[in-house]
Formats: sequence, C-alpha cells, structure tokens
Amino acid sequence: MSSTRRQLRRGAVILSAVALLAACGGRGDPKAGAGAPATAEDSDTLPTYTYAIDNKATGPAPAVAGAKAGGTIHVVNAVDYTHLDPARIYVTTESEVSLLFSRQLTGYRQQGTNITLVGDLATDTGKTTDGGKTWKYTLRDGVSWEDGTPITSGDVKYGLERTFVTDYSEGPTYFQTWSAGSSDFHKFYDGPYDGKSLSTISTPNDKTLVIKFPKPEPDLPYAMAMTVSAPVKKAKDTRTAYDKKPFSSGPYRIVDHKTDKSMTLERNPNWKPESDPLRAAYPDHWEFEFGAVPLTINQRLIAASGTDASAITHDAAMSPEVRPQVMSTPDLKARSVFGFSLSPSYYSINMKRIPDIKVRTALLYAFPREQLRRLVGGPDEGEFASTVSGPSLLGHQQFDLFHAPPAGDPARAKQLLTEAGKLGQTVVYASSARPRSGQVAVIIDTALKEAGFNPVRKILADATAQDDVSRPDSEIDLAGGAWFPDWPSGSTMYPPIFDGRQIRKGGYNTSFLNDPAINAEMDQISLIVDPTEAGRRWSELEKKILAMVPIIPNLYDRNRQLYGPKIGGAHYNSLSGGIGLNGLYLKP
Amino acid sequence: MLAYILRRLGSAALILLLVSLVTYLLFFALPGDPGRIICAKSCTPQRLQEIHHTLGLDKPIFVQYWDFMKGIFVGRDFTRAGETIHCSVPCFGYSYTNSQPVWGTILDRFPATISLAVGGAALFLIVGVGLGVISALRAQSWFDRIGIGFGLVGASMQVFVLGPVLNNILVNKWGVLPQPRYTPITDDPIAWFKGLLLPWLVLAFVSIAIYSRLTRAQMLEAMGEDFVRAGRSRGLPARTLHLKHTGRATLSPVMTVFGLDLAGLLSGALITETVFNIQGLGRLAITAVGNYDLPMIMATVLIGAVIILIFNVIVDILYAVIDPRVRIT
Repeated sequence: MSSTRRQLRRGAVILSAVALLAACGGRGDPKAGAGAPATAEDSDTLPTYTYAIDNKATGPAPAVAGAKAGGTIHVVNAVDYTHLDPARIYVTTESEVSLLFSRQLTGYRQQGTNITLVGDLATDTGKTTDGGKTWKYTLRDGVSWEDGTPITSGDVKYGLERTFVTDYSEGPTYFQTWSAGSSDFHKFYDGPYDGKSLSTISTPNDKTLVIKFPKPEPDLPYAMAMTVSAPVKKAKDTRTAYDKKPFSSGPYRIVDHKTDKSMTLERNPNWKPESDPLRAAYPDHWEFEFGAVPLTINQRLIAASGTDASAITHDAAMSPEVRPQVMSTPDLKARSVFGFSLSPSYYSINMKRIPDIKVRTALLYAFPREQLRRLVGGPDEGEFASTVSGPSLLGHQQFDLFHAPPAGDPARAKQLLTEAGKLGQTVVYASSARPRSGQVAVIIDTALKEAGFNPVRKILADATAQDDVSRPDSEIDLAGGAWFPDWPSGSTMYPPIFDGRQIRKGGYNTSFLNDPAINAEMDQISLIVDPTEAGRRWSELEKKILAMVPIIPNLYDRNRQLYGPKIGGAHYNSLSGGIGLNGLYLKP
Repeated sequence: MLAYILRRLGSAALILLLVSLVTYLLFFALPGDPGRIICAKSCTPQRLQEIHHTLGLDKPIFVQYWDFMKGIFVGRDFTRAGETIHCSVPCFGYSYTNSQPVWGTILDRFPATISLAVGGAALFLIVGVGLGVISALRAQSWFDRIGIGFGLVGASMQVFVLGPVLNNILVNKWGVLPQPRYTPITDDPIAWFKGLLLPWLVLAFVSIAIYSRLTRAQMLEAMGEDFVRAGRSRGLPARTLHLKHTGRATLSPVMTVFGLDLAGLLSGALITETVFNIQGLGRLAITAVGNYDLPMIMATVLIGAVIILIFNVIVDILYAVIDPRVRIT
C-alpha cells in the first residue's frame, strides 16, 4: 500500500504539483549556530510552530550568526526547475529558487519554528477595511529591477494579469478565481496580451495597488506569498521564453540557463538589502547542475571532493542506500538537515462504498502502520500520525481520537466488525505494479484478514491512479495519499480533501465525504479574517471530520537532505520540506 | 548500386512512416494525459479542456498526426501566449513541458550523444578487435585466456552497476578523474576529453568482449580457409596474409555488428547518459516519455529510427567494399 501511497504522492507532486507550500522564504535560526539544524527539528518529537503576521518588518533581513558574504554555492539537482516564470510556478523547489531572483508582494520569514508572514515588495501583508473584499498594497522605497529602473505597482499588476493567460496554466488559480468570482475565469479575463486590462486591480500611483474582489477573500496575504504576485516588466516580457530566464527583481540575476543542464546566478547590483526584509543573499554566485542521479548526488555530497564541498542539493532526498552510513557516521549526520513534511500521509476510506462508521473504525484499528513503516525504512521514515494536518499548519492541534496501536489491534477491529454484522467485509485497496507493492500487499492482506476483512488488491496504472481513486463511481475502498496545502492555513488544507462539492474525477476528496453541515462550516470559516481564529475553527472542524473516520492517518513523514561541509547556515525549511536556500553562506 | 541505394531509401521512408504512426497511436492508446501535468493541482474539467485545445489535443488523432508530419516537411505556425511563432522546417513542434522548439532541443543534445557514442565506440572497436586478433594469432596462449577473461568480466557487467561504482571510487573517493560531464569540444577540448573519459571507458569495457570474441572466432575460421592455406604455401609473409586476406574476411561481420552498435549509441545511450548525467538524446527521450511530451517523444523516436536506417544502408554498402565476393544489386 505504501508504494501506492508514494505513487499517489508522486502523482500529487508531478500531476498536480502540490509539492508542499508554494512560496516560502526559509531562514536559519541564528541561535542554532552555523551549520546546525534548527534545534526544534532535530528531535523525534513533532515540533510546535508559532505563526505571526508582521506588518512592520523592514529590510535588511535578520543576519545569520557567523555568516559571511561571498563565494559560490553549488547546487546539484536531479532535475532542472521546469518553470521559473512566476505565473507558471507551483512546485515548492521552483518557488523557493524563484525567491533568489523574483520578489513578491508578501513572503515568509522562517526562524526556527517561528514563521512570520511579512510584506516583501509591499510594506505590509495587505490592508483591508471591508472584511477582505478590497485590499491595498504599497510598495517599499528603493525596490528596483536588475536594470536599475524602479519596480512599479503597474509591474505587479502586469504580473498578476499574466496569470490569466491560458498558456501559463501550470500555476495556482486562487487569484484568478477570486477576481472572476468563479473558477471559469477565462471568460472574465484572458490576460494582457490582447491589450486588455484586469478590472479588479487599480494602480492610483506607481507605489499603490488596490485589488477589489466580488466576495471577501481573507487569505489574500497568503496567496500573495506565492510567486504569482511577482512583478513582470512589460518591456522585458519574453513570453514563453520568460520561463527560462525571468528578468530579475531579487538579489541575483540569471546569467545563463541551459535547460536540463545548468544555471548560473550572479549578484544583481541594483538590489538593495535595506529594501528587502526576507533575503540574506550571502553568496556572490550560485552554480546549478541538473540531471544527476539522486544516489550519485548523495554519494558526491558524502565524498565532498572539489566543488562538492560547497554544494547542496535542492531536490534529492537522502537515498535509502546511503542512509545507514549517514546515520552511523556523526560527521555525516551533522551534515544533514531534517524535519517533517508539511502534512502526514494517510489512507482514505471510500465512505460511499463503506457507509457504516463501525466498519471504517474497524479498518482503522486493523491497519498495520508499523509493519508498513518497517518495510519502507523504519523509524527514520517518520512518526505515526493521528491527524490529517501537520504541525506546521496554522492552528494545528495534536490530538488522537482513537489511540490505535501502530501495529494494529485486530481483536478490537474484529469486535467492531462483528457488532456491525459485517464480518468478512470486502475491502478493495489500491495498489500498483511496482516491485515493492507486492510486499506491501502481503502485509495489508495479513492484517486485514486477521481482523475479519476480505482484502482484495487492485492494481492501478500509475498514470491513471488518481483518476481511478477519485472518480465518483470509483470501485476502490482504500487508497493511500497525502495533501499539501498551498499556504499554512486550513482553507487550502481541508476543502480540497473533505468538501463534498470537490468530489470529481481527478480531484482529491478520495474519501467521498459529503456532509452538508461540514461543507457549510468550511464556507463559514473561509470568511474569517483573523488567521488565529480561523486556525482554531479549522482544527475544531478537523476533529469533527476525523471522528467520522474518512481517513486513516499514517505517518508524519520525515525528510532528510545532505549538504557539503563548507556550507554554513543550513537549515530545514518546514514550508518547503527540504533545505532552505535563504541564509546559506560559505564557511571560510 | 544507385538503384540499390534508391530502393533502400524508399523502404526506409516507408519504415519511418510506420514508426511514426505506431508511436503516435501508442501514445494515445496508453493511459496518461499531458494536459493533466500542465493543469496541476487546480485542475477542473474546464481547464483541462482549454489546455487540450491549446495543445491541439482536442482534434481527431489523425488530424493531429497529419499536422505533425506536415510540419516536418513544410513547417507550421503556432500561437503561444498571444503571439504567432513560425516553426520552420524540420518542425517537430513545441515541447508540451517547457514550450521550447523540439528541433532546437534535439540539435542542442545531439553533440553530447555523438561525442559519447563515437569515443566509446572507437575505444571498444579498437581494443576489442585488437584483442581478438592477438588472441587468434596466439590461440590457447596465456594472453588469449587472459584477454578472453577480461572481456567476459566486462560483458557480464552492466553500465548501471559499473558506472556508479567506478564513479564513486575514481571520482568521488580518489579524485583521479573529474566528475563526468559533457563540455562541447569547441568550448574546451581538454575538458571535453576529461569529462567523457570515464563514460567512454565504461561503455567500452562492457562491449569489448563481443568484438574480441567475434574477431577471434572469425579470424581463426578464416585462418583455416583454403585461400589462406594457399597463400601461406605460396610463401606470403604473415603480415600480408593476415592484414590483407584473413583481415578482410574477419572485418565483414565485425563491421555489421559495429554499424548497428554505433547506430544504437547515436540514437541515444539511455543508461550511460543517465548514469553519467550526459544530456544527450537518450536522456531527452526518457524525460519526454515521463512527461507525456508527445512532440519530443516523436522527434527522439524518429531521429533514432533515421540513424539506425542510415547505418544499415552504410553497413550493407561497406560490406560490398570490404568483401569482393559480395555484390550489391
């Protein structure tokens, strides 16, 4: 089953690009010292995150202790960044690298487990006086393009207008949908290329941007922390070629980008640190190498010869082949950042096909999570989950409604099944044709049979698995998955997976939960402007939802990444799920 | 001869047409949808439809196929992001994944593949044939046995095992060789040579056995032929005998195998390119398949097929040149 989970997660990353939060600016915890992982992450217990919105943050960015400017950081990646055009970015690694050369209206400042949303190009995260219908942004002084010309509110507007172009369909669609008041936003506006202007944005002067939505959209400050709010200079818009080499508004400019091969960044002399509260920008150059095999990347970082000593990887996780060596060598272990995924993985139960809550609860108690974790790598893979939200979600509360033992409780499951009169209930679970799926199937079959179920393995093709488990007439009872929200508020976490109106082929509500009361409550919470209050309400709703057993929470997955010995300021970016680029420096 | 070449070209064109049609049909027969990759997480049926329309995937398959094939010979116009771009001959369209012209990407990747293939092939041909000739001349000697053993070790290895192991030892641990990578020969011939040395060695090592064994067997067989015996009895010096007479007889089958091997490498050495991160046609093909990037898949498949067909014709012609007993008609 776990392979199916990975397959679905891969599906989620590749097909749907939900690879964690889109926009995020990590920062090393100054207290943690040079090269040390953030302390709260460096333990087996789940960290607690503190969220804040700081509307008074100013540049320069907080200094990282011991950091020195200069030198070249090398980045060895398995694949090139498919998109660098801010309108087309949805994957976390892309949005994080984009922060090096594209500024946005807002962004995240992460110091250890403190995450603060601040104004990036804008002086604050956005002002609203009517509950989120009208938003006003003012640009900071001294913000300029790589050619030295000032960044204007018109440039930000043009950037947002470009997100409507059909050929740039890869990016998120929150802003477009909110502007049009409907997901069918191309009828409302089709981008700036035919000379039309977007009516929901006005620019009274070069510094001010006013956005007016038909309905209140309280989450706009978070949505503007995605790359879509990056300015684009009309005269420098090279259209589809922009995706390879965007015109820089950040601390670095792209000197050269050879698709799938390499990319070189150098300092943008016109970027002023005092205008930027997010970016530390210590190295003078970044040299990216693309296309290496993940295992080779790990071996290179372990050997750390030549330029690999001052290298990181932005996309290769630690390979299982090198994990024992790294974990048993203190020097190597110290050269890895690790932390938890933004959301846990889970198994969704098809509530349409298994309407009896007793049967679903029995399934939850029967599930062999520990045996499955052992198969994929043991305790370092992650901690057993009891919620559907992860610790880095705003308002997240750690609770466990069922206290199911990780290895399962077949006796309890069988008792529940007997009470429901469903002993021998058939459970069709999604699996794949990958080699490990066979072993996973044996574990699931054994556990479910012991609990009195009749498990049936159904092998799905990778390319269509997400469609097969999500279509309303799906014949799958149990399928692995994970959902990563686009920003750390419940509004992009819960509705996609639990709103009954989002049930559709290719969607993510794979438990088919469709409860009018819950749907209505989601609509209600989505209108709350105060993020703390919204977070509290989302978490309450999560308890209500999980009590209905639409899913079996599986693992808070742990991610680990190696880096070279000359890299300072390395830290785990909990919003992107890997090493954070911001705040890295070269040790002498 | 001319008639022969023309006839071969005619059948090659027919094969290419079939290959293109089968690839196109297979793409649509298999599960998966490039539109889904593009429309990402916020996919709605409506957006999917819009994307299909932009990519032309909403047209009937045979119309799409016809447009594609026509583009190769007469070029096409595309409208992307509000502007019309002319894609000139040979137009293989634009990549679904990164919106770049496919032909430009192919031209960009081909030199890496040629460098890898030609260097590796030269090495395994020279060393393989050399070993084979010496083994045949000194059959059953210690050199023969060691040579065969050495070849067999290579033949029983796989690039995906030998490559990473040697890379980790020679490059990462000992630092004897630089990190393999492709640098254009025009940029820096020394970096080109150094960066490709390990891939060449690995590629050669796993293929040498075929050539040494084939050469040895052919040579031994030829040495027992009547015309060699006759030559020897007439007092021909060993050098003339082996270079001119047995050599020729040996070369024909070796040339056939080599032509096909080189053609295979030139159309993309998938595993070697992946192991050593050389961005050639092989890597391009794998990535294209993974991304459901139809225009790129079509281009890599067709170019691979063209190379293999051309080399087949060349091998046939060379066969006649080398061995006067063969006449092409």
